[in-house]
Amino acid sequence: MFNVATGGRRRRAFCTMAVCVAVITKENYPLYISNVPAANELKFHYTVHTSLDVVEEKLSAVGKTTSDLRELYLGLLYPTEDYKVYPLMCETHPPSTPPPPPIPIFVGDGMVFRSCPRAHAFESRYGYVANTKVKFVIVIDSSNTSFRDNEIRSMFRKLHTAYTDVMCNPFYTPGDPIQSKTFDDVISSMMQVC
Amino acid sequence: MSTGAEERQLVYTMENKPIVTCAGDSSLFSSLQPTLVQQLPKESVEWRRSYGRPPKMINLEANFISFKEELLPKEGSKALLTFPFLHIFWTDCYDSEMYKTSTKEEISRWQNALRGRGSSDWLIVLVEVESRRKSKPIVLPRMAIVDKIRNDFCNKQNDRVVVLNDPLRESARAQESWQAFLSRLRLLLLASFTRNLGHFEDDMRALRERRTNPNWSFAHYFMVQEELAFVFEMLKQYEDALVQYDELDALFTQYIVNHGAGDPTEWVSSFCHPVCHWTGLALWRPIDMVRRELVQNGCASLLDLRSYLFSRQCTLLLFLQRPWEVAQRALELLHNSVQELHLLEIPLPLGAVDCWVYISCLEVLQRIESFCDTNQNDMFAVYAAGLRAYAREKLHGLGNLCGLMSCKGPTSEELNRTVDLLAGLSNNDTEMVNNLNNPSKRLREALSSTEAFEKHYLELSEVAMGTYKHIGRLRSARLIGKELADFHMRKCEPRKAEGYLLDALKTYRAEGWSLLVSHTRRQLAACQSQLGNVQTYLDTCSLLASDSSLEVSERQEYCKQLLGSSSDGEPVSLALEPALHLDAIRFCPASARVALHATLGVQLQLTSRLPGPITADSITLALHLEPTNSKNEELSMDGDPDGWLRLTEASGDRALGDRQLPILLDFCEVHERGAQPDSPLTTSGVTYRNAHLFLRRQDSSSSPGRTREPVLEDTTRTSAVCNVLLRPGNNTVSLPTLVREPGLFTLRQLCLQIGPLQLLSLRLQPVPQYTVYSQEPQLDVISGDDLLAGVPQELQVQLLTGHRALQEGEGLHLSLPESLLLLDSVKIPAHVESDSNDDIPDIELSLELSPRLLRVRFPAISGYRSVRFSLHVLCQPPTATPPADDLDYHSIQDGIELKGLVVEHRVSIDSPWSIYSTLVTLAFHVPFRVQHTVLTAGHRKFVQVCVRNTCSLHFILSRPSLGFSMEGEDTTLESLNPATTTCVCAGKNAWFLWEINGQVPSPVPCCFTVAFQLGSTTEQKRPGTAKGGPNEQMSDDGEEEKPPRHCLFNYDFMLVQLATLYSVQAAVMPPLGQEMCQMGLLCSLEVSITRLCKDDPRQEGSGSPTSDCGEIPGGATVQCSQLLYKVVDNSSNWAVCGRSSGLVAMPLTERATHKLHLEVLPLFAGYLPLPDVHLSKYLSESETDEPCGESGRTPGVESFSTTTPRLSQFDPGEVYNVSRATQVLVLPSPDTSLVDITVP
Repeated sequence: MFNVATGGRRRRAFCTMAVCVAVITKENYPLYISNVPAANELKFHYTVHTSLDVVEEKLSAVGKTTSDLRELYLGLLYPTEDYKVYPLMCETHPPSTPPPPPIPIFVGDGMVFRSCPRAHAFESRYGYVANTKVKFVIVIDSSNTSFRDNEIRSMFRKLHTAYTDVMCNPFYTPGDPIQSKTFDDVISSMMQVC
Repeated sequence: MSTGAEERQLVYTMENKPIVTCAGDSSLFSSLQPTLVQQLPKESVEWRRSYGRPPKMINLEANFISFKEELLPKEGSKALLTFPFLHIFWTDCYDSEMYKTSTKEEISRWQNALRGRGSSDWLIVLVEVESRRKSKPIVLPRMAIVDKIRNDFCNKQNDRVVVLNDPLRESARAQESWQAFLSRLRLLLLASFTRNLGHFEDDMRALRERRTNPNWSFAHYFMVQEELAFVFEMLKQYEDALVQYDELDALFTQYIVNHGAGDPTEWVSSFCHPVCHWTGLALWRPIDMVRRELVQNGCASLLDLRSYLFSRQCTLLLFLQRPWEVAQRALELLHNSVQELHLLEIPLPLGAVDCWVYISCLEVLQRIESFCDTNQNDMFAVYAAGLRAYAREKLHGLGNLCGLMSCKGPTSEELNRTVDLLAGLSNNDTEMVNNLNNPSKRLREALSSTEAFEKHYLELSEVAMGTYKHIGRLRSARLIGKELADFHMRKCEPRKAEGYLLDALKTYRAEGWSLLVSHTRRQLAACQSQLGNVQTYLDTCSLLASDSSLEVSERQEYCKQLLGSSSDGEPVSLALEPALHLDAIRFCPASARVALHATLGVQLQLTSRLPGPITADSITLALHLEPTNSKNEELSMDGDPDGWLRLTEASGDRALGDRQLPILLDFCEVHERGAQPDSPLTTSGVTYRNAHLFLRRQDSSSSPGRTREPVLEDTTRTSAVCNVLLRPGNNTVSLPTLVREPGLFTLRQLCLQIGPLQLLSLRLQPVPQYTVYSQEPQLDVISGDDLLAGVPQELQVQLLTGHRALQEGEGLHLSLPESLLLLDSVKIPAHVESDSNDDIPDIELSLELSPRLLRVRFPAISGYRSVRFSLHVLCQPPTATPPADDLDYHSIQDGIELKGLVVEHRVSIDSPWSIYSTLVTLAFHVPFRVQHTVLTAGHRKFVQVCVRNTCSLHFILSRPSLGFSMEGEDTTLESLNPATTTCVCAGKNAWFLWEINGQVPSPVPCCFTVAFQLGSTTEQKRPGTAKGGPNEQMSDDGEEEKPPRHCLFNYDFMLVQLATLYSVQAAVMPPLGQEMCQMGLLCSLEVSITRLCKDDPRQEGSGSPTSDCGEIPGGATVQCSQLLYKVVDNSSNWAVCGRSSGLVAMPLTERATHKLHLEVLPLFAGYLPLPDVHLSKYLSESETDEPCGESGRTPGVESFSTTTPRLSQFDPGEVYNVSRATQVLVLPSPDTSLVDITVP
């Protein structure tokens, strides 16, 4: 069949990669929210907060259907007119090894399905797994059509790694808002104009 | 392309079927057609397809129409719907002649026509009717018509001829031939499909590949691919049909994206024309011909194309029974279309997109609702919720644009805008207009008036919220609720808005989204302000003013509101949190124990979260007196090293931490074993004791507002401070309190009064408490157990001032008894102590001594001090008297420790704090006991005084003197004592002896005096100057004539001197012939009683009764007095043989002697004391007549009280035993008896 995705997609530029990045705890309160432009902070807060509905929905759906807890990983598309919200759920402690390569975009019969980051089976070498259930949310401007799914995936991977680094900091108390320059730098790199 | 009219007709009828033309015998076909149409779809056939697409089972249907030449597709026609896929020639020719003449001709003409159009899909059906054949016998059986037809037309295509046997009859053969025919027909149809569609697809692909061509027309391509979709739809291959539309969709989308990304395509720009109709999706028709035509003609707008495309997709999805996918795709489509409109920068009136989206959403919802019961379909509900929310959002936007949301109504500009929008909604479609629930119509209605808009908007919002709640998306529902609140606020209906805002606030607070909480609170504040609910408004203001995430200016505004509430003067009580927070409490003193009437300092650490400094009129702590038996004593008050007691955060505003575990968990190990002591371990683990705190339900008891409202506590006991300036941040406030009540107090509540505004804290946790103890002034005189009279003694006075501070000059008044001498000077030092171990310098007390009254003046002394000072006193020992009975004397002699005389002095102390005097009893022990004895030696009499030291000190006695109290006696006492001093050690006796010269009229009071001083055991104390102070005092206050260290001890007694009446002399004579007494031999005891006194013994008697009775018998019995003697040997040394007692009549003349002779037997050998000889007065009856009576019982030495003849004892000293203590040697008796000797 005809694959539209091969078209000349890469031409458009001058858009930010992400407009908002949020890290949300298991208890659903924000550990970190950063957004551009900063003036719209309130709107993004509402957007991210509302997206938790979908996150929880997916989470419970996964719990019902999947018996293998390791397959627990969240991916979904939560679009609005203005933004596309990509939540990602981190089910286990971040692994020491980088996550597996992203799953290719699924292209149906002519219809592009924007697939979401799939579950990564994280394994801990010491048999210790803690359910942190920390959620990551990335909001992308809907007008930014040049995004490919694996770009979002790589953004999540970056975010995840940065979060892991924060958690590894012995001076960081889990559950406190993240205040880390390194983390800020990673996030701002994700929200840069690409 | 085929004629438009025909095509349109075909398209309109949804019952499209593949066209099969029928030529030949039309009457024959008509007779068979019903059966054929009915039978054809009954069985499915497998359709193998090209390009690797999976084979499908398909039930074929066909539209049989009679063959016309113009039906055949013209050259280059791409129409598929009108394409005849199969051509059938029907004939029932049974006669070869007939075949040759007409049928063959017909067939070949038909074949030529087909071949001319390149159609190779044909079939010849030969119907054989049995009856006809019979009626006409077969001429050439071998040359059947079938074979002829095969020969003539089907070279190598034998399957193109089918024989149908007797089709109208019910027979097995007929059935069989029908089946064969049908399967052949299906196969041929499929083959035709495969071939023709394949060709078509190839052409289509080729057309698509040319899309980079400048002349390439999207409209044309669209129609071509849609043709294919129609065919698939016709074949009921909806999946395939949908794929065609999806591909078109994707292609279009991609082009738009590319166009927007700066890759312009010419045909795309045709979609960039201004849009003038925004009537939304129209889904109730399978094919929206109006829009299709627009697309076909290339004059469709973007919205038209999208609408048409989606309506087709929707139709197919509904065929596929996937209504929720429609909803899902609708949402995507709407989002996408809006984006595309932006991307292509298509000029649109403001709000047109909103109209389009709103109508589309409702249209989709209506379409799906008509298709399935949405309420039972949760899957749909998810998308429906999104659609409703989207529609609501758009309606909200429209309301904004058209001024329908404000309570003032639209302005003229807004009205113009409304008119513009309505113009774009005008629709000529009568069917649409007639539909009552038409979304477009509803929108027009909503835009027509404020009331209608409100109705629609509220309705839609409610439904959207309800759907969100139904599917559990509470956060989304809350967001809608907030917008509804916003709407109500605009409509000036704050009462309706409040509930929504509170709900939203609760959700945000529960999840700790501070920014959202602040924002919602701000709205809530505005709402409550309008409502005029002062309490809740100020509550919210307090929260906002202390919200650090807000701008300072804004916070100041709220703070002003909060504090400015004073203007109307109504007192308002608010919670202390969050504006202020009481962090810690410290007591001063840190022990939190204060004395009554002392000052207790309470320091508060208050954190002000308000943006500016505030001045509290008063800060009050409500105190509560705990019952004395409460267990609060056990509460630990562990402050930090500085003594600050940290209070827990009472407010639940930081709810995000609620469910978090504390950092430190108190785990304990758990092991479990079986019942037997040595059974193996069954379980072991780690548990957390307070797990229930974290496992309890979170949502059951929390109310939307704050969790607990502070209640004003009982304020009967308070501690307050006024006019305190509280700056933002940490403040330390001190509340000095004078405690007026004893007991255990807990701090219950902090209350700040700022004008009429009262900020109340919740009950403080953990409970800070302090104890107030009370103590009355107390005076103690501490004296050792052994105060000694006659020796300077130190009295320790301890004064606990208690709660009463002593003023300067206040003092004690001590009333001293006369015999208590104070030895101290004017000033004495005093030592002051306090409970807190502070170093307090010693003070000096001034003494004023007036006779018998001592004033002790204190300097100023604060409360709860202990003042100690010493007073030195000297107690004059009282004049001793003889003990009441003789026993004591004997006891002293026997050395038994007895308490000496005790002098009790009562000192009464008057204190300034009490109207009652304090009585202190001081018991001074007289250090000596004195006994006196009169000793007799014949006529001579001696007085012996025994002084016994009863205390544990040594004394030095000097200058003993004994004298008569009365003067004028010629009797003198001659001292026989040495002139030196005598030292009496503890518990020892000192003896003094005087001889009485001359006769003493009996009895005579005598006085014994001895000077004594402490004889220290060491020589250093001897000089006495070491004890300077007291000794000097003694010299000042004491008697002058005495040496300073000495004190006099007096002993008064009555000296009774009795003349010796009789002397008794006894002697033991050895038996006759023996020189010595010998044991076992009778000896003679010679007793000689001699009267010594010249006077009447009656007169000599001490008691008056004797003299009385002496007068009478004195005259009568001149001769003698009767004596009873008695020989007793108490020690059983002697056996008295014969009479041991008897009466002796003694003549009353001096020197009258009576001799007795008795026999005694010594029982032991050795020096034996002589047996005693007792003399008693024998009083006859006559003598006792008179003296009987009371006088006999008067205290005296004698005691006789019987009326019968009786014995009367002599007083000591009246009878002198000359041979007292004499011993006689008794030899052992010569023993002649056997001596048993035991030899071991």
